[in-house]
Amino acid sequence: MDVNFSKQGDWTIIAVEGRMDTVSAPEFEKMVQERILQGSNRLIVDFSKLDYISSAGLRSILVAGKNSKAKGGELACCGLQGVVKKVFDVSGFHKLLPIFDSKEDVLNRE
Amino acid sequence: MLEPRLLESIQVAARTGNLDRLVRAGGRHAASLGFPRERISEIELAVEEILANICLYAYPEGEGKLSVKYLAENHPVKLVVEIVDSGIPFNILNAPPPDLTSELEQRSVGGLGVYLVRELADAAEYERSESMNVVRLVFNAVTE
Repeated sequence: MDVNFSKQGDWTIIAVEGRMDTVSAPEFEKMVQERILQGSNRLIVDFSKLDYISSAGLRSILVAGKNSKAKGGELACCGLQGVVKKVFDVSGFHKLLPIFDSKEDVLNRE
Repeated sequence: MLEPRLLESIQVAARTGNLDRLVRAGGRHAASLGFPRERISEIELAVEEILANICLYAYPEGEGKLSVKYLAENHPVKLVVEIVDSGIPFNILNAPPPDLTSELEQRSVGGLGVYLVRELADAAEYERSESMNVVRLVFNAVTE
């Protein structure tokens, strides 16, 4: 899985690409936690290029969401499609975290 | 009824480093049976969840083995995945339901993997036989 971080205003955009699975999810979790500890706690995870997510990936998203909220921030998700969207829906994550069509929708919210 | 046709049988050490290969084998066989792309990902997901549980929890005392068999049925076309380990008993069908409703701070994802398997497979069976966990997942090529 490729993870690409970028900044837009006080948001950190995390674009994930490929497969978020048992092996790659813990690495992702660690990378995001480092950013949160550095003070980036407003996060947008862009899933538009993610092909696959398993429960390990969901766990890492949940942990990132909890950690950013604990620091007074938030985690928004965008670009869900295909099996990734289905897994979010089946797992109830669509009600747990704010979901947007695109990162522009998050940025334009304010 | 015809016996299912064996597509591939793989036995490996129960290590997460082996997961990708086993999971992608499932995707390949599903593709060869004509499953659509999104369904192939769901099959890979279900297989990964079962295998990851085995790698992470079945052998607390050390390393064990696991085996995966991919089988095909015809008329109607089905992919059958049989996963066997000799670790501690774990009945995926009796696992407690996951928390799907708590707010973010309280939410835990324990049990989510097995829940996804039960939701995504057309049939899931478990048997404890001769000190082994035997899980059979069935995926129908055409869903009603």
